[in-house]
Amino acid sequence: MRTLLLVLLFAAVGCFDLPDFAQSSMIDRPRILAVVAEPPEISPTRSDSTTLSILVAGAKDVSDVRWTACGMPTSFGTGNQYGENDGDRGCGDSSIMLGEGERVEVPLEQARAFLNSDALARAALGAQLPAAVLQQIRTTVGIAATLQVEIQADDKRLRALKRVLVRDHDHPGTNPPPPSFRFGETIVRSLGADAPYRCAPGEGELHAARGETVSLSPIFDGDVEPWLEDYSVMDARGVIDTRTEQAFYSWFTDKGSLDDGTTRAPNRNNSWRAPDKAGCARLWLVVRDGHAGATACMTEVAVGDATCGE
Amino acid sequence: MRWLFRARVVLNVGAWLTLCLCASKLSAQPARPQPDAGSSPRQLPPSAAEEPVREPPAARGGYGAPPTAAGADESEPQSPAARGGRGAPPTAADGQALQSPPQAAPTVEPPVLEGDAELDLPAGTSVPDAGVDVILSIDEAGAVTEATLKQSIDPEADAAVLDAASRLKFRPALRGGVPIPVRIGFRFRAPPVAPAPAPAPGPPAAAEQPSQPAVAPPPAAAPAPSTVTLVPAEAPTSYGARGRVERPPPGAVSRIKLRGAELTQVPGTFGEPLRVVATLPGVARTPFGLGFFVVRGASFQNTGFFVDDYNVPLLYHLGAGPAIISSRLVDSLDFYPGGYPVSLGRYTAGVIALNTKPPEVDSFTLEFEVDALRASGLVIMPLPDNRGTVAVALRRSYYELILPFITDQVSLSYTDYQLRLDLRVSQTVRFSLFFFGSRDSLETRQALGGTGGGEGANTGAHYAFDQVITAVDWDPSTRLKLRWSGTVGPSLVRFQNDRVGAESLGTDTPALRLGERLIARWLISEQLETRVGADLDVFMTDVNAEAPSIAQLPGIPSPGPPEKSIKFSDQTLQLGAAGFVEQIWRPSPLELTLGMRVEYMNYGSTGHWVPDPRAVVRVQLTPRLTLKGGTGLFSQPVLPFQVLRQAGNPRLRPNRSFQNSLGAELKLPFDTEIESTVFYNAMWQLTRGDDQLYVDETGRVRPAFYADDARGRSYGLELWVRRRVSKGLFGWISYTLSRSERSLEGGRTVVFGFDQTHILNIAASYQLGSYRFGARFLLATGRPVADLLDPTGQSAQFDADQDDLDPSARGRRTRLPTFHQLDVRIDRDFSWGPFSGSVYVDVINVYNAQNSEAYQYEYDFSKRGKLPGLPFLPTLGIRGVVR
Repeated sequence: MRTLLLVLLFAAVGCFDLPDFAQSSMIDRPRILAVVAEPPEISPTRSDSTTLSILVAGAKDVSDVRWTACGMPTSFGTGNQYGENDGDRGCGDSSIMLGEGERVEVPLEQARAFLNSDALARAALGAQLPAAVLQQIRTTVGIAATLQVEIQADDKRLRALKRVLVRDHDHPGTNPPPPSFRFGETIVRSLGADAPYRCAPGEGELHAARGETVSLSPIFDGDVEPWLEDYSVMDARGVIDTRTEQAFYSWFTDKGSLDDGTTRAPNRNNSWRAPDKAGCARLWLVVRDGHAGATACMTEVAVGDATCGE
Repeated sequence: MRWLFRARVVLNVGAWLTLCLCASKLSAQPARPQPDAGSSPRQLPPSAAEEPVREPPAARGGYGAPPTAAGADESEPQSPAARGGRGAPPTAADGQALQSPPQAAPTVEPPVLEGDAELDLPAGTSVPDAGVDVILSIDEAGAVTEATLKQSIDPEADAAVLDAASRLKFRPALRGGVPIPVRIGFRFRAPPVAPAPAPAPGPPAAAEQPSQPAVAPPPAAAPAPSTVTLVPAEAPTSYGARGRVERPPPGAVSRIKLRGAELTQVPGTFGEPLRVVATLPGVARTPFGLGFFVVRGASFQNTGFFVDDYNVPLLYHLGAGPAIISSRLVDSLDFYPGGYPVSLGRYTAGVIALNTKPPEVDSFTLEFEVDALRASGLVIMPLPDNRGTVAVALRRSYYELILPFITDQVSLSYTDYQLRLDLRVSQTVRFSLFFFGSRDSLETRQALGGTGGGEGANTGAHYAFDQVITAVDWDPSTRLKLRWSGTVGPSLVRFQNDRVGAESLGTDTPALRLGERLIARWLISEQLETRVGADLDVFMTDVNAEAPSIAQLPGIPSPGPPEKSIKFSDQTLQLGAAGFVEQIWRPSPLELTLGMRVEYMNYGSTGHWVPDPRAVVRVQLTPRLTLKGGTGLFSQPVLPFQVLRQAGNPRLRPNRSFQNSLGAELKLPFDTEIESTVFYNAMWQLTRGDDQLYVDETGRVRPAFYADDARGRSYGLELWVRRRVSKGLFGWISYTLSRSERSLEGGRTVVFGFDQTHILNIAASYQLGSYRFGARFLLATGRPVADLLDPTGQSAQFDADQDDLDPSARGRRTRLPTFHQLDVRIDRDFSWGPFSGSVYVDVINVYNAQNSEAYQYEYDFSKRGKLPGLPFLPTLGIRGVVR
């Protein structure tokens, strides 16, 4: 009870003026916005592998991209009642080098070795787990392999984590389809494999008046995203249960402002206010399914008299 | 029977100001404790927190009556002298007849008044013909160290009586020829009125006057006190009555007892005892001064709240509100920072215990108390033949009427009630029934910020309980005292969290507590005493939870909370059965107490036997200097939700601690005393979170949730300098130097999250005429936090599945800046016809110190800012009594 009250009281400190920090949806410095594994799930016994790529924003130059893998983060960084919350995460010293470059493929042999290693699984999940239980986990919910990427973005060294599900299963999960959304009344779609992480209207370029507020709304058929998949989890009770993915839309811009950073059902829509100065603004949208699946793209908006030509 | 109506009208501007300051935001801060209308006993009817004195009618009749056995918690047979005599000092023989059994000791002599004091009543004031009852604490030198009124007259008369009382001089009470401090009841009579027609406005008054105005002034020979009361149960001896000795019971090294003004007149606390406890040694500061007590470096859940020896989950209403029990029914608050007696248990740190007692009245009494945020009423009805009292109290807040004008994002309400029956069944048997309960509700809307969809969440906490405690005291002889008590009561805790785009979360936890205690105290000889007892505590909970459906496996986080929640129900039964024995040996000047508490705890899936031996020694080197030391084991069952079969670990062992302390008590001139204690506490079998999976007895794979292998230790020095409540100045300085650490899995040692190296509290109040000036200064080291700041913005790692940047402290730790704050308060008493009261200004953070309660970071931890503490916050209030 007292713990609960403490939480409530801290929740109520919204009364106070907090420091004026930058919005995380504003891209004003080099950022990693998304790490995408295609597909997000590996089934080693079905000879699958996955290709990893990265979406970086706010950087003029991206180089020295290095990919590593490990069984689990060294710490969940969730803190505890003793007040410690260092938040350290990462592969630590047990990482395995996967490759270099903005796109890299996880070798099937490594995925298979990871899946079949009882030692790795026990280190990640529990030292006392019998082999039969591990096998059950492999074939039902799978084991998440943690991938880590480090990049040089301008003068900054940035890191990101991404999980890839390794599971011995006939129907591995997939990523959401490439993003498409309405910019006001204009439909913006992904340009496909020829231009990774790029979206654009069917013709021409997007325009907005200075200071104009434009609605942003994801496009899909029906009331619910049709691409949401079911997947298995082992919940906190130890019960194998079925969940349905959830769609999360994360929006970013480098000029102007956004109403929300992340939207989801039932309020998926967002709005963007164009800057008061003419120029070329960028909008990013990252779509996640809540189960390791993700897609992303960036589009440009000409504000005022400006154009966004290459 | 006469009727007495009292209405308290409290207009607290400060409460409104506090609310308004937060209006533009969102806040539970309006709940900053409202100055309780009971916080100024000088203007209000006597608080139950003061020492009640039960006087038999006969004793009221004569001045200089010998001590009676009018204890508040005891009802003693009276000596013939007490029933009818006057001016006869108490004798050992009286004492034998009057004695409360465990305290009986024929060699104790009562204090005798040696130095008179004039009662100089201001013009226009008077005292009742029947006199004015005061409670006096008399030290070994015979000086009055504390004087409190049993019943208020009016502010000016009160001050005059207290002033006179503090100037009285006694021959000290003696035990075995050695002076001892005692606490007695004393009655001032109105000065004799000349047979003139009009009541003269204040001829010089004498300290003691006959009950009839026509009777001559008091004789030069000093009489004995009118009543002598309340040797606490723990006090070794008395002389046929009881005088309270403000020292810990034999089985405890340190106990701070707060009563009356000390509970309600400390500046900056708004008359709220909760805030007063936070100023005591050994208590770490909590953010925003909230009432979560981190005592001697232990977690807040390791300090227990007790009402009449029974555990209660909360002592105070939600939102830092007032205590759940009317201050009129509270006799005192005992704070044990550690090393508490074996008669209490199931906590590994400190204990905060409320002792309830009915107010003393001689007629039907009805009181009202109204302020800006709540209203309360109290009815007290004495039973015929002075056989006891019945008291009923009710309090209701009306935040729900006020808050909507300020914010629609917070709602708060609470109600509490008490019904108390005290019945003197016979001269050796007393019965009491205390029925109390509380209803609390606190809701915040849109208060938790975005939850992945940029939407808010509504969160509510509802807490309700009803509890009855009944007790029978039987004193079959002067040397044996028995007390049986029992309790039963249901409670309900409901927590709900309604989220946008997701199923609601929450818990609904009805519970039932049963308890029983039996204690026997046997005074074998003057130097030997045995206390033995047993207690039983059964706590049954039925947990119905809708918990977040966070998939334990495969462990892939998402940007927002899961849409689906999981539902489960579970029942827990926590059983604690303990037997305890305490042997006290008092070869002067030594007092050695050896105790053993053996407890069987059964919860989760296993039972645990936990023996807790304890020892305390006190050596009174001089009448003013006492050395003391103690050591012992303490154990505490884990929290019920931690042993749930579906969401906990039923195999957790009890938390344990090994507490050691060594100290000294020194009484100084000017009613001042110093207490210093060093302590070292080791803690083990502490509960920590555990993500590891295991296969349970049903073959199901699930997380352990909790492990019990964390350890800790804390050590430090406490210093307390105190001038007791009396005329003029009262206050204290408390200083704590300490360190608290925890060893977690893998042997990592970290500083405890609420560790504060230095904690200094200075509180003082000074009465000058009709003004009272008070101030409190607090200085505390900032608590440790992870140092997450990285101006380059490179150390944080982006979690691409969660869409969040995770900080990386890389082992760096820092502390929040040193906290310092000065609060002041000025009261001005007034009296106008039937109205009396005071106007006050209470200012928090006078110099607007820019304190920090936590660090806030930019999303990539490249910038850091402070979560500010309370700003400069003035409060203007009016408090009144209408008779």
